[in-house]
Amino acid sequence: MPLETELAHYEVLKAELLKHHEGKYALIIGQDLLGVYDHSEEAYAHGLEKCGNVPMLIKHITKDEKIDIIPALTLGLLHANI
Amino acid sequence: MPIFNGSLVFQPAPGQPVRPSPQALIGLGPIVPLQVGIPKSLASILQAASQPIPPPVPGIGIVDTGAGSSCVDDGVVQKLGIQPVGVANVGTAGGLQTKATYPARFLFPGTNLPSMEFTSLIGADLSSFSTPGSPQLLIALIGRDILSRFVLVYNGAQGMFTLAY
Repeated sequence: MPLETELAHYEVLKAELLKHHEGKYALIIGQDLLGVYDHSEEAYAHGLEKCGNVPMLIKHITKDEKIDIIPALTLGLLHANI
Repeated sequence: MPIFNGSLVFQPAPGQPVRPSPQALIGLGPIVPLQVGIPKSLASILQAASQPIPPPVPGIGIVDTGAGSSCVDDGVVQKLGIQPVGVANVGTAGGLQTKATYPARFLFPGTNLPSMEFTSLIGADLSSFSTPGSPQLLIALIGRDILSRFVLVYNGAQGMFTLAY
């Protein structure tokens, strides 16, 4: 799974982040929380500035994790001839 | 207001006028000329480090009103050297699947639509999807997150659609 280390670290910090920064974006690289930002673009720019072009986790701090539904992708309907 | 009027045509018989084909639009869906490039902030970092900036990858995007989130082809982001910035939980018939998400810049060549940047496009293998009649590769699904910035008019009867920004 991509960003496994970062996701595991987010889970450790999640309760505290939710308490103080719900709705914002956490930037985690490896096991370091580099900051919390109002917008994901800010987090990305800061991550690039600090660590360069490396994998990073920009995580929306929210209680409910979003599930994406993309029928064309998941059901192979993109070019179905029905 | 920047406006793109899109339509698809089948090769008309000799002597016949070229006109939009409702059947082609049914078959392929609304197709937009697209280039995927690296975000401006990444370009700045590469430039500062005197590293080459990869040119945008050309292809097509399909407007997919059934998708809540937009997707970009995995191969394209790898070619551009863009690193993942998150994960998305995609619901499938077999349960949840975790996919990496990427930042990218979309450009719409040949239109007056402005370029725009995104920080959480879902990476997916779009190369396996066929787009018969189009010589260009499908490189993005344009979902409702991107469409939230546009007005979309789908004129199926005339075989046309309009994207206004």
